[in-house]
Amino acid sequence: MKDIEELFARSGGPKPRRPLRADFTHNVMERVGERPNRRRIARILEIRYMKFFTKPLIATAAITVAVVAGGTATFAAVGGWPGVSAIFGGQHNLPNSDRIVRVDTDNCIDPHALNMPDVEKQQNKHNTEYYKLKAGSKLTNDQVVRMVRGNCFTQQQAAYDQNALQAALDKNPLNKNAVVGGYIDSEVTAISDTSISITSVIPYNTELRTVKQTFNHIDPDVFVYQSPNKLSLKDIKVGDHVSVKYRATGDALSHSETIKPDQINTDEQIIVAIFKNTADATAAVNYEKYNGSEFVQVASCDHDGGYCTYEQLLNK
Amino acid sequence: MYSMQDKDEPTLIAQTLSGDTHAYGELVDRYKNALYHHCFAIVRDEDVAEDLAQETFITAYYKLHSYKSQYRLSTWLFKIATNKALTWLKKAGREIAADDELIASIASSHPGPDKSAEYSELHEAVSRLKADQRAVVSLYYWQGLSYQEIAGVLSVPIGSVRGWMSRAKDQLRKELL
Repeated sequence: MKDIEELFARSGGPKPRRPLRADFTHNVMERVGERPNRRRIARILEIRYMKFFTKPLIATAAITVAVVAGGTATFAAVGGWPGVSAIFGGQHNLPNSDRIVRVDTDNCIDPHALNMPDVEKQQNKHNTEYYKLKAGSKLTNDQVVRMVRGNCFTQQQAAYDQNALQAALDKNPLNKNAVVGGYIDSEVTAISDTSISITSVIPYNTELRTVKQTFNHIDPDVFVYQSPNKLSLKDIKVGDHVSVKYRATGDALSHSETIKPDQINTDEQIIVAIFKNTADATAAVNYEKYNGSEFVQVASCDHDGGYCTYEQLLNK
Repeated sequence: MYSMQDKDEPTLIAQTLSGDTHAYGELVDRYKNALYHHCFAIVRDEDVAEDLAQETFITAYYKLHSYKSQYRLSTWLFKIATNKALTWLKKAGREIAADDELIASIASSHPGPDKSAEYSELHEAVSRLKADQRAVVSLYYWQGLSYQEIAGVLSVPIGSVRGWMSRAKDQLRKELL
Protein backbone atom coordinates (compact mmCIF):
# COMPACT_ATOMS: atom_id res chain seq x y z
CA MET A 1 0.00 0.00 0.00
CA LYS A 2 1.29 3.44 -0.84
CA ASP A 3 2.11 5.90 1.91
CA ILE A 4 -0.63 8.51 1.49
CA GLU A 5 1.05 11.11 3.64
CA GLU A 6 4.31 10.88 1.78
CA LEU A 7 2.55 10.91 -1.56
CA PHE A 8 0.61 14.02 -0.67
CA ALA A 9 3.73 15.72 0.55
CA ARG A 10 5.51 15.10 -2.74
CA SER A 11 2.70 15.61 -5.17
CA GLY A 12 1.39 19.10 -4.58
CA GLY A 13 -2.17 19.81 -5.61
CA PRO A 14 -3.78 19.21 -8.96
CA LYS A 15 -2.69 21.84 -11.43
CA PRO A 16 -5.18 23.67 -13.61
CA ARG A 17 -4.53 23.36 -17.32
CA ARG A 18 -4.03 27.06 -17.64
CA PRO A 19 -2.80 29.86 -15.39
CA LEU A 20 -5.06 32.64 -14.24
CA ARG A 21 -5.83 35.19 -16.89
CA ALA A 22 -3.40 38.06 -16.94
CA ASP A 23 -6.14 40.56 -16.18
CA PHE A 24 -7.41 38.71 -13.11
CA THR A 25 -6.36 41.33 -10.58
CA HIS A 26 -7.45 44.13 -12.85
CA ASN A 27 -10.91 42.59 -13.17
CA VAL A 28 -11.23 42.20 -9.42
CA MET A 29 -10.24 45.79 -8.84
CA GLU A 30 -12.65 47.03 -11.49
CA ARG A 31 -15.47 45.18 -9.83
CA VAL A 32 -14.72 46.34 -6.31
CA GLY A 33 -14.51 49.86 -7.65
CA GLU A 34 -18.08 49.61 -8.88
CA ARG A 35 -19.59 49.35 -5.46
CA PRO A 36 -20.21 52.19 -3.07
CA ASN A 37 -19.05 50.80 0.22
CA ARG A 38 -15.79 52.54 0.75
CA ARG A 39 -17.01 55.41 2.81
CA ARG A 40 -18.82 53.03 5.12
CA ILE A 41 -15.66 51.03 5.56
CA ALA A 42 -13.61 54.13 6.19
CA ARG A 43 -16.04 55.38 8.76
CA ILE A 44 -16.14 52.07 10.59
CA LEU A 45 -12.40 52.13 10.58
CA GLU A 46 -12.40 55.40 12.41
CA ILE A 47 -14.27 53.72 15.21
CA ARG A 48 -12.28 50.56 14.98
CA TYR A 49 -9.22 52.66 15.34
CA MET A 50 -9.92 52.45 19.02
CA LYS A 51 -10.51 48.76 18.93
CA PHE A 52 -7.23 48.06 17.26
CA PHE A 53 -4.90 49.96 19.45
CA THR A 54 -3.05 46.77 20.15
CA LYS A 55 -1.59 47.35 16.70
CA PRO A 56 -1.08 51.08 16.73
CA LEU A 57 1.02 51.45 13.64
CA ILE A 58 -1.57 49.77 11.53
CA ALA A 59 -4.26 51.91 13.00
CA THR A 60 -2.41 55.13 12.40
CA ALA A 61 -1.61 54.22 8.85
CA ALA A 62 -5.23 53.45 8.28
CA ILE A 63 -6.46 56.67 9.74
CA THR A 64 -3.98 58.60 7.68
CA VAL A 65 -5.66 57.44 4.56
CA ALA A 66 -9.14 57.47 5.96
CA VAL A 67 -9.05 61.07 6.95
CA VAL A 68 -6.33 62.76 4.99
CA ALA A 69 -6.60 60.97 1.71
CA GLY A 70 -10.12 59.75 2.06
CA GLY A 71 -11.82 63.02 1.54
CA THR A 72 -11.85 63.02 -2.18
CA ALA A 73 -14.85 64.16 -4.09
CA THR A 74 -16.47 60.75 -4.26
CA PHE A 75 -19.09 61.77 -1.78
CA ALA A 76 -19.43 65.38 -2.71
CA ALA A 77 -21.97 67.33 -0.81
CA VAL A 78 -24.97 68.39 -2.81
CA GLY A 79 -27.07 71.28 -1.68
CA GLY A 80 -27.72 71.89 1.99
CA TRP A 81 -27.51 69.70 4.99
CA PRO A 82 -29.94 66.84 4.54
CA GLY A 83 -32.37 66.01 7.29
CA VAL A 84 -32.26 62.36 8.14
CA SER A 85 -35.04 60.46 9.78
CA ALA A 86 -35.54 56.99 11.13
CA ILE A 87 -38.83 55.94 12.63
CA PHE A 88 -40.16 52.72 14.08
CA GLY A 89 -42.06 50.75 11.46
CA GLY A 90 -43.14 47.67 13.34
CA GLN A 91 -41.99 44.53 15.06
CA HIS A 92 -42.62 40.84 14.89
CA ASN A 93 -41.06 37.83 16.50
CA LEU A 94 -39.60 34.87 14.70
CA PRO A 95 -40.34 31.29 15.79
CA ASN A 96 -36.95 31.10 17.49
CA SER A 97 -37.82 34.22 19.53
CA ASP A 98 -35.50 36.49 17.61
CA ARG A 99 -37.13 39.86 17.08
CA ILE A 100 -37.39 41.73 13.80
CA VAL A 101 -37.60 45.49 14.06
CA ARG A 102 -38.52 47.50 11.02
CA VAL A 103 -37.10 50.99 10.70
CA ASP A 104 -38.28 53.39 8.00
CA THR A 105 -35.56 55.80 7.02
CA ASP A 106 -35.19 58.88 4.89
CA ASN A 107 -31.97 60.25 3.49
CA CYS A 108 -29.94 57.39 4.87
CA ILE A 109 -27.45 55.35 2.99
CA ASP A 110 -28.00 51.65 3.21
CA PRO A 111 -24.47 50.37 3.68
CA HIS A 112 -25.47 47.00 2.36
CA ALA A 113 -26.88 48.23 -0.91
CA LEU A 114 -23.99 46.74 -2.78
CA ASN A 115 -25.68 46.69 -6.11
CA MET A 116 -26.38 50.36 -6.33
CA PRO A 117 -24.19 51.97 -8.97
CA ASP A 118 -23.22 54.92 -6.84
CA VAL A 119 -23.77 56.30 -3.40
CA GLU A 120 -25.42 59.49 -4.50
CA LYS A 121 -28.40 57.54 -5.73
CA GLN A 122 -28.72 55.98 -2.32
CA GLN A 123 -29.11 59.32 -0.64
CA ASN A 124 -32.29 61.30 -0.26
CA LYS A 125 -34.52 58.30 -0.60
CA HIS A 126 -36.94 56.46 1.55
CA ASN A 127 -35.84 53.08 2.67
CA THR A 128 -37.09 50.29 4.88
CA GLU A 129 -34.47 48.55 6.95
CA TYR A 130 -34.91 45.43 9.04
CA TYR A 131 -32.89 44.55 12.10
CA LYS A 132 -32.88 41.16 13.77
CA LEU A 133 -32.34 41.20 17.51
CA LYS A 134 -31.32 38.02 19.18
CA ALA A 135 -33.81 36.42 21.54
CA GLY A 136 -33.66 37.95 24.98
CA SER A 137 -31.97 41.14 23.84
CA LYS A 138 -32.66 43.96 26.25
CA LEU A 139 -32.42 46.58 23.55
CA THR A 140 -35.75 48.31 23.09
CA ASN A 141 -37.23 49.12 19.73
CA ASP A 142 -36.74 52.79 20.49
CA GLN A 143 -33.06 52.23 21.18
CA VAL A 144 -32.69 50.40 17.90
CA VAL A 145 -34.35 53.23 16.02
CA ARG A 146 -32.15 55.80 17.71
CA MET A 147 -29.03 53.83 16.88
CA VAL A 148 -30.08 53.47 13.27
CA ARG A 149 -30.79 57.16 13.09
CA GLY A 150 -27.46 57.95 14.69
CA ASN A 151 -25.67 55.70 12.29
CA CYS A 152 -27.50 57.30 9.40
CA PHE A 153 -26.72 60.76 10.68
CA THR A 154 -23.03 60.18 11.12
CA GLN A 155 -22.75 58.63 7.69
CA GLN A 156 -24.33 61.66 6.16
CA GLN A 157 -22.27 63.91 8.34
CA ALA A 158 -19.12 62.10 7.35
CA ALA A 159 -20.00 62.53 3.70
CA TYR A 160 -20.45 66.25 4.09
CA ASP A 161 -17.68 66.86 6.56
CA GLN A 162 -15.09 64.83 4.77
CA ASN A 163 -14.81 67.35 1.99
CA ALA A 164 -14.72 70.28 4.37
CA LEU A 165 -12.07 68.64 6.49
CA GLN A 166 -10.01 67.67 3.49
CA ALA A 167 -10.02 71.21 2.17
CA ALA A 168 -9.00 72.58 5.55
CA LEU A 169 -6.23 70.06 6.05
CA ASP A 170 -4.84 70.62 2.60
CA LYS A 171 -4.06 74.21 3.48
CA ASN A 172 -1.39 73.13 5.93
CA PRO A 173 1.63 71.37 4.42
CA LEU A 174 2.28 69.72 7.78
CA ASN A 175 -0.84 67.69 7.28
CA LYS A 176 0.37 66.24 4.06
CA ASN A 177 1.05 62.57 4.64
CA ALA A 178 0.51 63.15 8.33
CA VAL A 179 -1.06 60.74 10.68
CA VAL A 180 -4.50 62.06 11.45
CA GLY A 181 -6.82 60.28 13.80
CA GLY A 182 -9.86 61.11 15.76
CA TYR A 183 -12.84 60.09 17.77
CA ILE A 184 -16.43 59.81 16.69
CA ASP A 185 -17.89 61.51 19.71
CA SER A 186 -16.51 63.21 22.80
CA GLU A 187 -17.88 65.56 25.43
CA VAL A 188 -15.92 68.73 26.07
CA THR A 189 -15.00 69.06 29.76
CA ALA A 190 -12.67 72.05 29.48
CA ILE A 191 -11.50 74.28 26.69
CA SER A 192 -9.20 77.26 26.17
CA ASP A 193 -7.39 78.80 23.22
CA THR A 194 -4.58 76.33 23.63
CA SER A 195 -6.04 73.18 25.08
CA ILE A 196 -9.11 71.02 25.14
CA SER A 197 -10.16 68.29 27.53
CA ILE A 198 -12.60 65.68 26.39
CA THR A 199 -14.33 62.60 27.65
CA SER A 200 -14.92 60.02 24.97
CA VAL A 201 -16.99 56.90 24.99
CA ILE A 202 -15.09 54.61 22.73
CA PRO A 203 -15.84 51.11 21.51
CA TYR A 204 -12.81 49.16 22.57
CA ASN A 205 -12.83 45.48 21.77
CA THR A 206 -16.31 44.42 22.81
CA GLU A 207 -17.03 47.08 25.38
CA LEU A 208 -17.53 50.79 25.58
CA ARG A 209 -14.77 52.52 27.44
CA THR A 210 -14.78 56.02 28.84
CA VAL A 211 -11.53 57.82 28.18
CA LYS A 212 -10.58 61.24 29.53
CA GLN A 213 -7.89 63.17 27.71
CA THR A 214 -6.42 66.63 27.60
CA PHE A 215 -4.78 67.91 24.44
CA ASN A 216 -2.40 70.79 25.07
CA HIS A 217 -1.65 71.50 21.45
CA ILE A 218 -4.23 73.03 19.19
CA ASP A 219 -3.18 74.00 15.70
CA PRO A 220 -3.48 77.79 15.26
CA ASP A 221 -5.46 77.09 12.11
CA VAL A 222 -7.68 74.52 13.76
CA PHE A 223 -10.74 73.90 11.65
CA VAL A 224 -13.91 74.20 13.72
CA TYR A 225 -17.10 73.19 12.04
CA GLN A 226 -20.69 72.30 12.53
CA SER A 227 -22.18 71.09 9.32
CA PRO A 228 -22.60 72.96 7.16
CA ASN A 229 -21.13 76.04 8.87
CA LYS A 230 -17.61 76.96 9.81
CA LEU A 231 -17.28 77.98 13.45
CA SER A 232 -14.48 79.30 15.60
CA LEU A 233 -12.88 77.75 18.63
CA LYS A 234 -14.82 80.14 20.82
CA ASP A 235 -18.04 78.51 19.67
CA ILE A 236 -17.11 75.29 21.41
CA LYS A 237 -18.28 75.18 25.00
CA VAL A 238 -17.98 72.84 27.93
CA GLY A 239 -20.67 70.19 27.57
CA ASP A 240 -20.68 70.24 23.79
CA HIS A 241 -20.35 66.97 21.95
CA VAL A 242 -17.58 67.08 19.42
CA SER A 243 -15.52 64.92 17.14
CA VAL A 244 -11.87 65.88 17.33
CA LYS A 245 -9.25 65.16 14.71
CA TYR A 246 -5.62 65.32 15.59
CA ARG A 247 -2.30 65.14 13.85
CA ALA A 248 0.15 62.89 15.57
CA THR A 249 3.79 63.80 15.67
CA GLY A 250 6.65 61.34 15.60
CA ASP A 251 5.79 57.77 16.34
CA ALA A 252 3.40 58.63 19.10
CA LEU A 253 1.43 55.48 18.66
CA SER A 254 4.26 53.07 18.17
CA HIS A 255 5.79 52.97 21.63
CA SER A 256 3.93 49.96 22.80
CA GLU A 257 2.25 47.05 21.21
CA THR A 258 -0.31 47.07 23.97
CA ILE A 259 -1.11 50.75 24.06
CA LYS A 260 -4.69 51.52 25.04
CA PRO A 261 -6.75 54.58 24.15
CA ASP A 262 -6.36 56.03 27.62
CA GLN A 263 -2.60 55.63 27.50
CA ILE A 264 -1.96 57.67 24.39
CA ASN A 265 0.44 60.49 24.94
CA THR A 266 -1.63 63.47 23.91
CA ASP A 267 1.41 65.71 24.13
CA GLU A 268 2.40 64.23 20.81
CA GLN A 269 -0.89 65.07 19.18
CA ILE A 270 -2.06 68.35 17.75
CA ILE A 271 -5.73 69.08 17.36
CA VAL A 272 -6.34 70.06 13.74
CA ALA A 273 -10.13 69.95 13.56
CA ILE A 274 -13.12 69.96 15.86
CA PHE A 275 -16.56 69.04 14.61
CA LYS A 276 -19.51 69.91 16.76
CA ASN A 277 -21.82 66.93 17.02
CA THR A 278 -25.37 66.21 17.98
CA ALA A 279 -26.56 63.42 20.25
CA ASP A 280 -26.90 61.27 17.18
CA ALA A 281 -23.19 60.67 17.14
CA THR A 282 -23.39 59.00 20.54
CA ALA A 283 -26.15 56.76 19.28
CA ALA A 284 -23.93 55.84 16.36
CA VAL A 285 -21.24 54.66 18.75
CA ASN A 286 -23.80 52.32 20.28
CA TYR A 287 -24.73 51.12 16.82
CA GLU A 288 -21.16 50.04 16.33
CA LYS A 289 -21.05 48.45 19.75
CA TYR A 290 -24.15 46.32 19.36
CA ASN A 291 -24.04 45.67 15.63
CA GLY A 292 -23.13 42.02 15.18
CA SER A 293 -23.61 41.09 18.81
CA GLU A 294 -27.09 42.22 19.83
CA PHE A 295 -28.52 42.93 16.41
CA VAL A 296 -27.77 42.56 12.77
CA GLN A 297 -29.29 44.16 9.72
CA VAL A 298 -31.20 41.67 7.63
CA ALA A 299 -33.08 41.56 4.36
CA SER A 300 -35.96 39.58 3.06
CA CYS A 301 -35.11 36.16 1.69
CA ASP A 302 -36.76 32.80 1.21
CA HIS A 303 -35.09 30.95 4.05
CA ASP A 304 -33.88 31.46 7.64
CA GLY A 305 -37.34 32.55 8.70
CA GLY A 306 -37.62 34.98 5.83
CA TYR A 307 -34.77 37.24 6.96
CA CYS A 308 -31.17 36.73 5.98
CA THR A 309 -28.11 38.63 7.00
CA TYR A 310 -26.28 40.40 4.23
CA GLU A 311 -23.41 38.03 4.81
CA GLN A 312 -25.72 35.15 4.01
CA LEU A 313 -27.01 36.90 0.92
CA LEU A 314 -23.52 37.75 -0.19
CA ASN A 315 -22.38 34.15 0.14
CA LYS A 316 -25.44 32.73 -1.49
CA MET B 1 8.54 55.38 -0.51
CA TYR B 2 8.59 51.66 -0.34
CA SER B 3 6.84 49.49 -2.82
CA MET B 4 3.67 47.62 -2.11
CA GLN B 5 5.73 44.46 -2.07
CA ASP B 6 7.49 45.67 1.04
CA LYS B 7 4.34 46.29 2.98
CA ASP B 8 3.23 43.79 5.53
CA GLU B 9 -0.16 42.25 5.36
CA PRO B 10 -1.79 44.12 8.26
CA THR B 11 -0.74 47.41 6.71
CA LEU B 12 -2.22 46.44 3.38
CA ILE B 13 -5.44 45.41 5.10
CA ALA B 14 -5.63 48.68 6.98
CA GLN B 15 -4.99 50.66 3.83
CA THR B 16 -7.63 48.68 2.00
CA LEU B 17 -10.12 49.40 4.74
CA SER B 18 -9.45 53.05 4.32
CA GLY B 19 -10.26 52.86 0.64
CA ASP B 20 -6.87 52.25 -0.94
CA THR B 21 -7.72 49.81 -3.68
CA HIS B 22 -4.08 49.57 -4.76
CA ALA B 23 -3.32 47.96 -1.43
CA TYR B 24 -6.08 45.48 -2.00
CA GLY B 25 -4.67 44.75 -5.44
CA GLU B 26 -1.46 43.72 -3.74
CA LEU B 27 -3.35 41.34 -1.48
CA VAL B 28 -5.12 39.91 -4.51
CA ASP B 29 -1.80 39.33 -6.22
CA ARG B 30 -0.45 37.56 -3.17
CA TYR B 31 -3.26 35.06 -2.85
CA LYS B 32 -4.86 34.73 -6.24
CA ASN B 33 -2.94 31.68 -7.36
CA ALA B 34 -3.43 29.84 -4.07
CA LEU B 35 -7.17 30.48 -4.20
CA TYR B 36 -7.37 29.55 -7.85
CA HIS B 37 -5.61 26.26 -7.22
CA HIS B 38 -7.70 25.54 -4.15
CA CYS B 39 -10.95 26.23 -5.97
CA PHE B 40 -9.74 24.11 -8.83
CA ALA B 41 -8.98 21.26 -6.46
CA ILE B 42 -12.63 21.31 -5.44
CA VAL B 43 -14.53 22.12 -8.63
CA ARG B 44 -12.01 20.80 -11.19
CA ASP B 45 -12.90 23.36 -13.80
CA GLU B 46 -10.51 26.16 -14.63
CA ASP B 47 -13.07 28.74 -15.69
CA VAL B 48 -15.28 28.10 -12.70
CA ALA B 49 -12.28 28.10 -10.37
CA GLU B 50 -11.16 31.46 -11.71
CA ASP B 51 -14.65 32.92 -11.34
CA LEU B 52 -14.88 31.61 -7.79
CA ALA B 53 -11.48 33.05 -6.92
CA GLN B 54 -12.57 36.38 -8.31
CA GLU B 55 -15.85 36.30 -6.41
CA THR B 56 -13.92 35.40 -3.28
CA PHE B 57 -11.80 38.53 -3.53
CA ILE B 58 -14.82 40.70 -4.20
CA THR B 59 -16.69 39.28 -1.23
CA ALA B 60 -13.60 39.60 0.93
CA TYR B 61 -13.21 43.24 -0.04
CA TYR B 62 -16.67 44.14 1.15
CA LYS B 63 -16.42 42.05 4.28
CA LEU B 64 -12.91 43.03 5.18
CA HIS B 65 -14.13 45.16 8.06
CA SER B 66 -15.40 41.97 9.69
CA TYR B 67 -12.10 40.14 9.27
CA LYS B 68 -10.60 39.29 12.63
CA SER B 69 -6.88 39.77 12.67
CA GLN B 70 -6.23 36.89 15.04
CA TYR B 71 -6.75 34.61 12.07
CA ARG B 72 -4.47 34.48 9.10
CA LEU B 73 -5.89 36.38 6.16
CA SER B 74 -5.23 33.37 3.96
CA THR B 75 -7.36 31.21 6.25
CA TRP B 76 -10.20 33.67 6.01
CA LEU B 77 -9.89 33.84 2.23
CA PHE B 78 -9.88 30.06 2.00
CA LYS B 79 -13.02 30.02 4.11
CA ILE B 80 -14.84 32.26 1.67
CA ALA B 81 -13.47 30.41 -1.34
CA THR B 82 -14.34 27.00 0.05
CA ASN B 83 -17.88 28.07 0.83
CA LYS B 84 -18.29 29.43 -2.65
CA ALA B 85 -16.84 26.33 -4.26
CA LEU B 86 -18.99 23.95 -2.24
CA THR B 87 -22.06 26.12 -2.85
CA TRP B 88 -21.32 26.12 -6.56
CA LEU B 89 -21.12 22.34 -6.58
CA LYS B 90 -24.41 22.07 -4.74
CA LYS B 91 -26.13 24.51 -7.05
CA ALA B 92 -24.72 22.86 -10.10
CA GLY B 93 -25.92 19.57 -8.66
CA ARG B 94 -22.78 17.87 -9.64
CA GLU B 95 -19.96 15.86 -8.33
CA ILE B 96 -16.79 15.87 -10.28
CA ALA B 97 -16.10 12.94 -12.48
CA ALA B 98 -12.49 12.56 -13.40
CA ASP B 99 -12.58 12.42 -17.15
CA ASP B 100 -9.75 11.43 -19.42
CA GLU B 101 -8.88 15.00 -20.26
CA LEU B 102 -8.66 15.92 -16.62
CA ILE B 103 -6.49 12.95 -15.82
CA ALA B 104 -4.22 13.78 -18.73
CA SER B 105 -3.91 17.33 -17.47
CA ILE B 106 -3.05 16.14 -14.00
CA ALA B 107 -0.37 13.85 -15.36
CA SER B 108 1.12 16.51 -17.58
CA SER B 109 1.26 19.09 -14.83
CA HIS B 110 4.13 17.44 -13.01
CA PRO B 111 7.69 17.63 -14.21
CA GLY B 112 8.99 14.25 -13.09
CA PRO B 113 7.80 11.67 -15.61
CA ASP B 114 8.60 8.80 -13.29
CA LYS B 115 6.38 10.26 -10.62
CA SER B 116 3.67 11.80 -12.71
CA ALA B 117 1.71 8.59 -13.03
CA GLU B 118 1.78 8.16 -9.30
CA TYR B 119 0.70 11.75 -8.68
CA SER B 120 -2.02 11.61 -11.28
CA GLU B 121 -3.29 8.45 -9.69
CA LEU B 122 -3.51 10.29 -6.38
CA HIS B 123 -5.20 13.35 -7.87
CA GLU B 124 -7.60 11.19 -9.78
CA ALA B 125 -8.51 9.40 -6.57
CA VAL B 126 -8.91 12.71 -4.75
CA SER B 127 -11.21 13.96 -7.48
CA ARG B 128 -13.53 11.07 -6.68
CA LEU B 129 -13.82 12.06 -3.04
CA LYS B 130 -16.88 13.88 -1.80
CA ALA B 131 -16.66 17.64 -2.14
CA ASP B 132 -16.20 18.33 1.55
CA GLN B 133 -13.50 15.69 1.80
CA ARG B 134 -11.81 17.17 -1.24
CA ALA B 135 -11.88 20.56 0.41
CA VAL B 136 -10.33 19.18 3.57
CA VAL B 137 -7.60 17.41 1.62
CA SER B 138 -6.78 20.50 -0.39
CA LEU B 139 -6.67 22.76 2.62
CA TYR B 140 -4.60 20.40 4.71
CA TYR B 141 -2.13 18.94 2.26
CA TRP B 142 -1.87 21.57 -0.43
CA GLN B 143 -2.62 24.81 1.34
CA GLY B 144 -0.95 23.97 4.63
CA LEU B 145 -3.82 24.69 7.00
CA SER B 146 -4.09 22.95 10.35
CA TYR B 147 -7.10 20.88 11.35
CA GLN B 148 -8.09 23.69 13.68
CA GLU B 149 -7.91 26.23 10.89
CA ILE B 150 -9.86 23.98 8.56
CA ALA B 151 -12.55 23.62 11.20
CA GLY B 152 -12.76 27.39 11.20
CA VAL B 153 -12.82 27.56 7.43
CA LEU B 154 -15.65 25.08 7.15
CA SER B 155 -17.43 26.22 10.32
CA VAL B 156 -17.54 22.68 11.67
CA PRO B 157 -16.13 21.05 14.81
CA ILE B 158 -12.58 19.84 14.53
CA GLY B 159 -13.90 16.30 15.02
CA SER B 160 -15.77 16.60 11.74
CA VAL B 161 -12.59 17.61 9.97
CA ARG B 162 -10.77 14.62 11.44
CA GLY B 163 -13.66 12.38 10.44
CA TRP B 164 -13.73 13.62 6.86
CA MET B 165 -9.99 13.34 6.57
CA SER B 166 -10.00 9.85 8.03
CA ARG B 167 -12.67 8.68 5.63
CA ALA B 168 -10.93 10.40 2.74
CA LYS B 169 -7.66 8.66 3.51
CA ASP B 170 -9.40 5.32 3.95
CA GLN B 171 -10.92 5.67 0.52
CA LEU B 172 -7.68 6.83 -1.02
CA ARG B 173 -5.77 3.93 0.47
CA LYS B 174 -8.28 1.51 -0.97
CA GLU B 175 -8.06 3.08 -4.39
CA LEU B 176 -4.29 3.34 -4.38
CA LEU B 177 -3.64 -0.21 -3.29
